Amino acid sequence: VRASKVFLLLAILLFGGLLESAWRVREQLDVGPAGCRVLGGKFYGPSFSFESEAQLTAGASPEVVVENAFGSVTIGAGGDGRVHARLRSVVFLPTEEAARAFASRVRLLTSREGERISVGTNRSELRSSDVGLETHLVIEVPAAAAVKVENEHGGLNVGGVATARLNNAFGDVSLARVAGAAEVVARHGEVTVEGVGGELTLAHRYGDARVEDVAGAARLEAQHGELRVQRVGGVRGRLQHANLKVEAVRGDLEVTGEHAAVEARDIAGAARVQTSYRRIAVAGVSGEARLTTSHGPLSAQDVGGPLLAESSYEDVSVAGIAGPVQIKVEHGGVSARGLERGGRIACSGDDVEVDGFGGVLEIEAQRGDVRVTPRTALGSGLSVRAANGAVELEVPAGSRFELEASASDGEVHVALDDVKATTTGRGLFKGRVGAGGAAVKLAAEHGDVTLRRPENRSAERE
Amino acid sequence: MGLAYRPERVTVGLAVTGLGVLWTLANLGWLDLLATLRRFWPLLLIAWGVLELAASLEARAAGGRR
Repeated sequence: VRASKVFLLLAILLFGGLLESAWRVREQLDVGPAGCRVLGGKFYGPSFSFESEAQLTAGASPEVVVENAFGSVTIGAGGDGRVHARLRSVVFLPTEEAARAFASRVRLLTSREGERISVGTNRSELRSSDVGLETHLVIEVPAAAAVKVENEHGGLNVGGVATARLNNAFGDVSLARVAGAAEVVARHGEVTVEGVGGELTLAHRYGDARVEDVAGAARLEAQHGELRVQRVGGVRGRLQHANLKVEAVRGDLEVTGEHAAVEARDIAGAARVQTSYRRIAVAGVSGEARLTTSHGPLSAQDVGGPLLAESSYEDVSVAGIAGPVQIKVEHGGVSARGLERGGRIACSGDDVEVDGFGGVLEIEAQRGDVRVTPRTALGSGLSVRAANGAVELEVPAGSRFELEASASDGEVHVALDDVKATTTGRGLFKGRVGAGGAAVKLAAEHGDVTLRRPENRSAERE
Repeated sequence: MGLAYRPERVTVGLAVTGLGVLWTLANLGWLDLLATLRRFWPLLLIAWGVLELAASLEARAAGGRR
């Protein structure tokens, strides 16, 4: 066989292939559901709609089970003791005659077995067909109905029912006005839940969710999305690569997360949050707060109970803590204001600043300075140890305490007028400030210890 | 004895001529070039095959006469 023949054969086949490709691009290039341009598919081109309906008498407390795919499901109250279902079939075929012939094979299936009423279509029998078929269901049910829906590749809109269990994929879910409990499982779509009279369980992947006005607690599981939650009875959540913003919780907030940020405001109960790689920010917690994050910043404001805050590789900032604090930071700093009942701060890698505290406070810092500024006369116990850092304490007028200050490889500066020294030496000062009282121990390794009046701060720094 | 023509050359000639004619008709608005080409391009393979068959028969007949 001559090479010219082989070449010609290949050239003709390539020519044919190019023509086929060009034809497909011209005829079937279209905008897909997510706005992307796609080739092929059954759901493009001319389409025609056909409707059918069915009605069933419901029992006193009916359970309505709906199964659908490739179409939306809308369920609302108003059935007047009956379940009224309407099906709109959308058939993707070039002519109305062909579409009508195909639609004649699509049936709305309804059945009743005791209190259970099933609504669906026979689209599974038509699955082998290469015709695009959407089945949209609109169902009216009695307000006392417990609704269960399984749907995919379509939206879900449910409102005004007794209870709801929804499972949806590849479409948005909207649930409103549920008298009792609700359960939503959703993938690849937005979720909106408004007004649930009982508890809410939401498991959600790949999409954002908004939850509002839930009387009971909300149990949330989220992956890869943003959650906004408002006015709920409580929150228990598990997050993976998702962020939670929650406001106005009437009970406790309990969240564990991975690569998840948690922002919470107005928590009537306790807040317990554990996450990683993203931030925790809580404000207005009535009870205790236990906050732990690694590789993420942490802030807590206006906490009514004790605070446990642990973080690494980022800073911790707390303000207005009514209970005792326990703060632990590795490779980050601490900024604390208004610690009403003192506590313990352990920090490594950066500075510690405390502005205003009451009760007994203990601070231990490594590789960072410590600055303590009491807002009122100091009369309670204070212990500060800094390794490879300096210690500064501002002493307001009227303070009274027993002072023990030591600095190894550093100096002790005591710029107070009402102090009586009992022991002094190289890097050591013991004495009584005012009339004496609780013990204040300040120790620095490889750093200075300085005590001064607040009014001398700016002058000395200049 | 060689053939008076080579089938693949004739095929290429037919293809180029046919493409030119169709393109002109498309420019005149008489047909859809892409649709027409897509529908009829396998004719090229048929035409080439016929020419190869004819050439083979001709070569065999020429050999028999000798």
